[in-house]
Amino acid sequence: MEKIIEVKNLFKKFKVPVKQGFVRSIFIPKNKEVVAVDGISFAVEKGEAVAFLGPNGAGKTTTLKMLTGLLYPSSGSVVVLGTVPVERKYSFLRKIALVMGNKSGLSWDLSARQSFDLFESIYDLDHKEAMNTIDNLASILEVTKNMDTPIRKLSLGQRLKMELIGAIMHNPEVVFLDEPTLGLDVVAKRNIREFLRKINKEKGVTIILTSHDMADIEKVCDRVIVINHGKIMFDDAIGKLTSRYRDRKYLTLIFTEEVAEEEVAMFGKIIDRKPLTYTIEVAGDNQAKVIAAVSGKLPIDDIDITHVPLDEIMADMFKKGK
Amino acid sequence: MKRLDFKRGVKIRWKIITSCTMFGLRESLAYTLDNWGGLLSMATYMITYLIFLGVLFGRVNLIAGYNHSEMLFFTLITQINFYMTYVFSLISIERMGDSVNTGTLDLWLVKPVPALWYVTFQRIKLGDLLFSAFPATIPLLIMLFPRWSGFQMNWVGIVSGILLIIIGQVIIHCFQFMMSLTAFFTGEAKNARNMSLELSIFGDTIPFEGYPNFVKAIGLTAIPFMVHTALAVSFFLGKSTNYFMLVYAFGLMVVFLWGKIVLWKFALRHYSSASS
Repeated sequence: MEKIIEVKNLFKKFKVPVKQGFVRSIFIPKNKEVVAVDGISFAVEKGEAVAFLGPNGAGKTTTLKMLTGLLYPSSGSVVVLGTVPVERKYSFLRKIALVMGNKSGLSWDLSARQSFDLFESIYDLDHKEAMNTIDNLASILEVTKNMDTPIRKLSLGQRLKMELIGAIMHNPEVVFLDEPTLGLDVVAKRNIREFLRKINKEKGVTIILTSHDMADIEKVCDRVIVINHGKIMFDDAIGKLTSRYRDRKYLTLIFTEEVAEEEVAMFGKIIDRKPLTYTIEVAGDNQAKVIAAVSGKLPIDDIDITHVPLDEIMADMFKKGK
Repeated sequence: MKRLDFKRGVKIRWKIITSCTMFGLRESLAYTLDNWGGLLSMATYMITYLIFLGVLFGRVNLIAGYNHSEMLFFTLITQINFYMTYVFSLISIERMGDSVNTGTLDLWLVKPVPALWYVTFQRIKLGDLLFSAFPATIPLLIMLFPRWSGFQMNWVGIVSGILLIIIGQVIIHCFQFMMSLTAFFTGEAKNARNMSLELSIFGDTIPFEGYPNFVKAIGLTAIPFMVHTALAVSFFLGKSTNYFMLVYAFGLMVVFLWGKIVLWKFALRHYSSASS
């Protein structure tokens, strides 16, 4: 497969003002260097859907911004679609799209359709083709009837869908998404995830995504790059990440009547507790024995067996990385 | 190939200007009540200023060698310059500062547009010119019209004046733009932008001939507030005929344009992009 992103030994340092007294900070300001991205290397092939995962301040968005040419790297090299992003070549910018969940590229006072007119001119698109693409995307994302409503009157979910249409109406080869489902309700999130998966699978659009929502990553991406303190901690298929934790299982025990915490704790580490429900962690090869024992000794109504969720895996990884 | 690139470059720049103008017009029309508010405030300012000039010239015949009619003409050029600055420069500069501050500039820097051209012309609010500026200037035009025949104008002076307005506009735009680039380093440029506007229109209240030489020297070099109104009116009315000043103003414009491009590239290199 053709490599469309190649990152080698990439560093990004920022200067951050050091906290000092009021007068000193005005006349003798001091800065310290903070390393946001610390010598990372990776490559992405055409048609891949890759997620950047990491806690706040890990360097995910900084990496994304260097891939799109917004930030100059301090050192190292980035090549996307055969060009250096910061050169901002027309041919490169024509083939990429950036969606940021918390930033709006559409005019607040105009309808989405009017903003799309401007994008149509900027991307030099054929009017008829652009209209078809927009109508098609609006229909998939279920916002056709909102196309002529001023953006300020749309809900967050509707606005974000419009942002997505505006960002990809020129049929980009690579779509960069930074927290695309931030603040959305469950239905809107599902819609956007399905849509991203669809353009990735059907049109071969390469997707690079950062999100704190593990479901975004599980539903949209095949590969995950875990970044912490600016370094890559893991870079492989999501399945391989979860398989590291396959020896652990979560049992959700639903009881018919109240059970004391100590009685449940005898069978495994309690992860979560709700009325009549406990979630415990057990060793994978021990789960059958635990289920049999719990069923015999406690008033069980139902038992649900799950893998360790991605959220927990990430939390565990970040904790170990500290 | 180069020729083709040049043609495409011109085409896309023209498209940006026309699209942004249409877009700005639509935005202006989105707030009808705001347009009426803008018109009323501008008309009130205009009428108050005309009354002030009337009172002043009721007591003196000349200010810096300008009679009442010439001061009215000076005021007309001041108004034209202010509206031009506001419509063609200030709104876009304001948006640039805000977009750096909020990080929305990111979404424009990844679009296939010449970024400097786009931020320069991102919003041309012709609607404000049509709905507020022009109607508010009508009282001034009514006062000027019967006095028109009294002006000592010739074609060379008129052409020179028009050229100086255009050149001066480009110069003060570059000056304001460069001051606003502080947003890339500090994340905030509101006060720098306000200061640059005040400095740019510093020469819009007193005629060129009224300033001491050292103020003229500053206004024609580092803080270029003297070209677009003061010097232009002086040429319009035939009070200045030293055409070397035209060549000088053109040179100054080239220097400021060059400075704008260099500083923009420098600012982009240091752009840290607002956090998400």
